[in-house]
This record gives sequence, structure tokens and C-alpha cells, in this order.
Amino acid sequence: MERTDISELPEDILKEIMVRVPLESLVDQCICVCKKWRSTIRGEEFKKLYWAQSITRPRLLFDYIRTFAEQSDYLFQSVYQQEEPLLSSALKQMIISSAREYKMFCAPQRGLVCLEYETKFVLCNPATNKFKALPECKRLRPERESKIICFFGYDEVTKVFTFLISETDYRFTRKYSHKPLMPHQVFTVELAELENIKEKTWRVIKCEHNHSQLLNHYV
Amino acid sequence: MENEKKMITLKSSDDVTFEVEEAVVLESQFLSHLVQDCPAPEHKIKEVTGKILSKVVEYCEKHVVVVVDGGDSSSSSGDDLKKWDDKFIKEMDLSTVYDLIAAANYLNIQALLDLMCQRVADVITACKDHKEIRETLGIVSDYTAEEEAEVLKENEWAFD
Repeated sequence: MERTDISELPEDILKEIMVRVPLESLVDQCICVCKKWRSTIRGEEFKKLYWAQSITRPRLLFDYIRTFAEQSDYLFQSVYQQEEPLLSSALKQMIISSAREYKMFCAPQRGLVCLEYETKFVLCNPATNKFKALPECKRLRPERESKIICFFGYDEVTKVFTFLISETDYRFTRKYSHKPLMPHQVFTVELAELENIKEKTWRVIKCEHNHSQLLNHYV
Repeated sequence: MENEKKMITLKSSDDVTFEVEEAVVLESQFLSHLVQDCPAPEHKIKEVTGKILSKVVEYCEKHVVVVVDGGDSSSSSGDDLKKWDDKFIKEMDLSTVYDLIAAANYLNIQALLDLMCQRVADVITACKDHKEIRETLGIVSDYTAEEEAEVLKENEWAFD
């Protein structure tokens, strides 16, 4: 029994091959090859497989701001710890132009980095060199009176990313740090909905008690 | 040698026979079960042709020898084996690679399967765009022009 065509190989084998292809090639090229490849790569099972092998290779993420001729860019560099030389892989570098004011306020969740500037959020995937902006959140209080505190988390069970914005009383903050005022605003998006993130909206939530947040890794 | 090595004959789908040591056969999970369960001197492997079986045997023989020698010849044997693997796959065209993948999958030889899948993955990675992947691997696209434009536009990025 001779085979001469990759399409005659079982889907499990196709996954075994794809799992060894770098993410940039998968999302930029392989998905466009044919429908079978696309459905394989986008399938839940493959994502799990890819994720499982991806976390066996620890990576370091550097983020820094480069200022040149009055323009500031935000840069990420993601490198595999095993690879030599450490910083030579330009492929893994991501640049967001004119983003000086943005900052990474939380640990990355599921490989995605969230940058924030006041009420604007940008989600970045340094592995694929792509980013998406969230719809802007509207302040509930005037800027001069309140300060923004934000949180970003991912729930492994429900596969939902959550962003939370609390505004704190500016005068209050000086005395007691980070005492948030109600209501808070929350934005949730499922992993599968990231494509259409612009269609989602911020929701206002009220808590029974006036909590302040302690951790910013989980919401 | 007093201890004569036990030999086993493998016969391909097109009746090409290979006489190999039992240790070589044990590289394959499938064959080691077969040999244990059914101690015949000859085994027919209907799923694999002579051309491909010869490659499988060549690979397993090389790897058995190195593993056996490995005890006293330190790490250089590992490097040599890697060089041998590289040469082994470089000489192969892609259709042979697919056949070997299918054979390694059927015979359950994990290391060979890994090696061959990596080879195809490297070929895919080396392509500069999806058209080159199609050309290199001989894939016919089933996208319409509109669908293809749509997929290209998609901002895929969700899962790493």
C-alpha cells in the first residue's frame, strides 16, 4: 500500500506534524492551505495538544519601551529558554508603535499580554505578533477625581478572559491606598470570541460590599 | 559466540523478505507483541511494502546497535545517531516520508514517527507562504477565491 499524498494520512498524524510547526507558520500560512488543515488547527483537541507541548518549553518575556525621535514604541521579546543564542530571534519580537503610555499591569494569561492605558486595553499575542484593542471603557467619574485600577484574568474552566476596571477616589487614594468606588466595570470574552472582540461591551457591576482587590492575577 | 542471536523474518506486502535480529523487531511495539504472541519464524506485514519495510529495518537496526553500544561509548553515540538520522531523512522524498509515517504509525515505532513528523513540519516551516506549502506538499486547495480571501483576512491568534 503506497501513499503519495499527505491528505491520505490520518488526522491524528496531521496533528502530530502540525504540533511541531511554529505558531507563526500555523496561523499565518497553514490555516490558509486547505479546509481540512484549518479545521484541524482550529479544533479544540489540537489547541490542547499544542498548548500542552508549548508549556513544556518555558519562555521568557521581556517588555521594554524604546524612545527615539519623540516616538515611543512598546516592545516585547519572547524567547525560548533552551534556544541559543538567547536574544537573536527577531521573529519573536513584537513592536507596538507609539505606545509609550501603555503598561503591562498584570502577568500574561495563557500567553496573552494585556496592556493598559487609562480606560484603553490592548491584548497582545507576542507568539503570533498580533494584537487587538478592546472597546474603550467609559469612565463613570470625572478624570480629575478618580484613578483607574484594572485587573486581567483567565478562567481555565470556562475559557473566559475577564477584565475589570475599578475607579478609586483620588483624594481617598492618598490616604488609604486603592480603595475602589462602586460600581466596577467588567468585560468578559471567551477564547473563541476573541476574533469579534469589538462587538462585546463593558458591563457595570455592583458588589454588595465595597471590596478592594488584593491580587491582580485572578479576577 | 555461544549465544546465537535469534533471527526473525519479516515479509512485506509484496513478498520481499528481511531477516533481522529479534532485538531489531523489538523497536516496534506492534511487532514485539506479534513475536511474543505468535512465535513463528516468519511474519507477513500486509500493510507495508518492501521499499518502505527496508527503510524501517534500516532505521531500527541502526538504532538498536547504538542503544546496545551506548553503555560504554559515552555521548558521542547520541550525536552520531542524530547525524545518521539527519542523513537518513535528507535522502528521502516526501512521498517516502508519508509512507514511512504510515508504517511507523502502524508498527508503533514512536521514535521513527517523531523523526518523520518533524521532517514534514520542517518542510512546512521552511515555506514562505501557504501557496508554497500547497506546491511543496502537493495539496489542492478546496477554498473558493472568496473563502481564501476571507481566511487570509482573519486575524488568527488565539491560543498560545
